[in-house]
Amino acid sequence: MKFASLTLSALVVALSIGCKHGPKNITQIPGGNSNVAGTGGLLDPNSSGTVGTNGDVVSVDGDGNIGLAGLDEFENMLMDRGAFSAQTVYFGFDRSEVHPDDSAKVSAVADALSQSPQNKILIEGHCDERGTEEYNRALGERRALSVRDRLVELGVGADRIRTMSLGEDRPADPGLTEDAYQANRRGEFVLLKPKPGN
Amino acid sequence: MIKSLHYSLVIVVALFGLGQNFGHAQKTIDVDIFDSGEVKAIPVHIEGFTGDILSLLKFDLFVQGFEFVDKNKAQFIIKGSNTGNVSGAVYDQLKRGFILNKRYQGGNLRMQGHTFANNVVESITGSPGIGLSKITFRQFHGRNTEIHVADFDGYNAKQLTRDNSISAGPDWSPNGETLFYYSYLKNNPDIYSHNIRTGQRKIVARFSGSNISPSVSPDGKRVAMVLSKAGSPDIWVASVNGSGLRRLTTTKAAESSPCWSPDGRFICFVSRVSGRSALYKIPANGGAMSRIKTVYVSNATEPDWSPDGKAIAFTTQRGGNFDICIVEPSGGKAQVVASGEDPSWALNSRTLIFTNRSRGKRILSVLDVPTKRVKTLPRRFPGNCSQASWSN
Repeated sequence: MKFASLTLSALVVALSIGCKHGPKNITQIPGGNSNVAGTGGLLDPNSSGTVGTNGDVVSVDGDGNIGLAGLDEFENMLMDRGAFSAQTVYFGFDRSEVHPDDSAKVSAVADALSQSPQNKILIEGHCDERGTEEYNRALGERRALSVRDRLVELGVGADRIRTMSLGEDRPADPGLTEDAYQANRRGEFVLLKPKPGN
Repeated sequence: MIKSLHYSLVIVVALFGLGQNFGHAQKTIDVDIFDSGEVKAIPVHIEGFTGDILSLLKFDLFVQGFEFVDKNKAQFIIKGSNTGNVSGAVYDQLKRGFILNKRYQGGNLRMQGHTFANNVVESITGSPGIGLSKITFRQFHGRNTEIHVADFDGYNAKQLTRDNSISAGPDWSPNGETLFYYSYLKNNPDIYSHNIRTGQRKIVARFSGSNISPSVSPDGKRVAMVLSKAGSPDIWVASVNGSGLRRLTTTKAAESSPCWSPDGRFICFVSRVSGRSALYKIPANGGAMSRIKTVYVSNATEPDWSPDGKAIAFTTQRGGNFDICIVEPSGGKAQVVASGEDPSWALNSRTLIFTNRSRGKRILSVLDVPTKRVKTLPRRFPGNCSQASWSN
């Protein structure tokens, strides 16, 4: 025991001497490449923080912004991209107001929704690539919200409308021409229908 | 082998001969990144290194303000070897003495090389190097984009997400353990935190509309982001687990791209509230938003506040062209420093990584702001890349 502790202290002394007078310019690099854990695409819903929505009360703030309906209002609905494909609206460069020429399209969507109260609508906002990526993501949302506000003005309940911006990530035309850019600055209507049996 | 042994011997002799010079703290060279005159790169001569490690050292040093010249024109001579392990020394030709002399073991050769580059930077400038830092970015896979991480020079890249969706806007937690990004995985752009050691992923914000552009506070406790749940894209702040959500801006216009001041007191962001996009700041605990003027340039987006607090880098747009600019956080004259977009500061507050876009291609480049010199990443990725964010 004593011997062991002596050996130990000798070792400590030796080590500390080694540190002081040894090759002190040697830098030890710890480890190799650190592990990075990705995902297999699975997400544990129980590990979520605030999964959920802003509730089902649609509110209006002081600036006239109408709050969005909760995401759970739109769960388990079938997406029909074809129903309103002729009603896609187009925007000016860096603009988010609905063009007067497109008013009839928005009205057509509002009419269809008023005739089928079980249905809801998703408005997708898109941009051309002449903007920075995150700016375009916000601009696409602003566009979708402008269309939504027009639908609300036409009597569609705000709780039936969902918006989603795709920014510049889903161009209708991948070209880099003025025509392509125009085709890409758009708002698309996706009809949401209850699943049979729901 | 014999040459290398001989060389090591030379270093050891140098070490003992000039030992008294070591360990003295170097005076930090204060570089003013707003200096509109010429900030000269530090002329160095490098010898003895070969192949990948030579390239690594030259890249690391170039993007931190060094240039490579003939021996007789060099202020410092960097000598060393990468046979077996990396070893190297720095000789100051003006002071006629060695200011660094080290050998490295363990890790791998690239880590040894980056560590030596850091020691070179620190011995000459007094500031820590960025050689061991990481980047995260989004890479295009067909129509989708996934989050990747890599060494800052593009080597050792790893794909983090495999969602076959759009994942974007990654940002590091200060300790480098967690990434925050948003993904359309659940058919809506939602913000996630992703522990890159364990792979555990959690939802931070999933509300109707946009949940995008997360930015982690300097203390790692809060996240600023853009949510449109109140009916317009606004700046919101919450704890990193999504609790304590608070709306900071209430405009009808779109806000985007929040980032934090290094003291955590302010959030800088972009708003269209005055018509054109411009930079604003707002107290992180709530209050009035105020404009950060960017004289000479317009259409400012994508701000990133430098870690030393002295500058905000951002993107401006003229037609379809993007420029990287810097401005003092109090606002004032903006200075164009490179052509490109979406800048992210390295911890040294002098080097930026950004995206270069041309004819549909997006690649990452690195800029040394004071000397205004750009290099594309030496390791190119198979797909287009953008939205790089630099770790601490």
